[in-house]
Amino acid sequence: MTRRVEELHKSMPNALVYLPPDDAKERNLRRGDAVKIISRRGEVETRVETRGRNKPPKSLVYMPWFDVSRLVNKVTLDATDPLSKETDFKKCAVRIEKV
Amino acid sequence: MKYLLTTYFALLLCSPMAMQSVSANDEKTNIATLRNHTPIEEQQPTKGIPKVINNDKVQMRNYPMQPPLIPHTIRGYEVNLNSNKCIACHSRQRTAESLAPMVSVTHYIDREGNFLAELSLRRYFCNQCHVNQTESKPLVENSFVDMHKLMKQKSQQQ
Repeated sequence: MTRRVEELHKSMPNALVYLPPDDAKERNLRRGDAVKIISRRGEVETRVETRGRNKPPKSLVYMPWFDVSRLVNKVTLDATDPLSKETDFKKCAVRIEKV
Repeated sequence: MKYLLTTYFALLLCSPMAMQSVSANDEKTNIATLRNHTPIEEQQPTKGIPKVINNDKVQMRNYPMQPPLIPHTIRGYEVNLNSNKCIACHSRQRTAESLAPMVSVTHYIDREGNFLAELSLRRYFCNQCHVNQTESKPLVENSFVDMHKLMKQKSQQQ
């Protein structure tokens, strides 16, 4: 159903990167700017959103993974727990650069 | 032996074409992808953030229990421990002034089923369920039929 229900798609059409406003200001980024999110494994390009509905602490950025046109899992870890086999896709250190 | 070798070469020559036909077939038979066959290593250029629809037109709900959509922008609306901007217009006390629809009665019931005078705290964070709509086009066709229409069709058939 992801991106296929009209109301849901229209409310959140693309995966953006959610930046705390202070972080964006420090990096000279504005809402809607195209940025690259780079980790040691890969990179993905998307736009900046500073008006997210949550208020994360400084230096914590978030990008959802529902959008198949922006594969954020190129950036994240591929580590897997040797015992439970649970994957660790959810967090990693990144750098953000203006495109 | 020579015959075997030639067939082997013929196979080798054939293989790239065979591979191609397989991948083309994959594209046809696979579940529709919203990537539009962009290779995994590449990415389509990003699009700007679409504008929020701000026309104050109430959109019909698809089913009775659907949380209504927000037909106006909510930029800068604070919904936190100290204040709730939405309630400034949508609470029972303010609707006469604001002409905004009142928060549904379900929002005044706590989880034990008690009716409260104030908004229930479990319904406090409005944008957990209620969302804006942006000026973006749906990616796929939607054949959703309203329950009401379905029932009508059924009664006509009988």
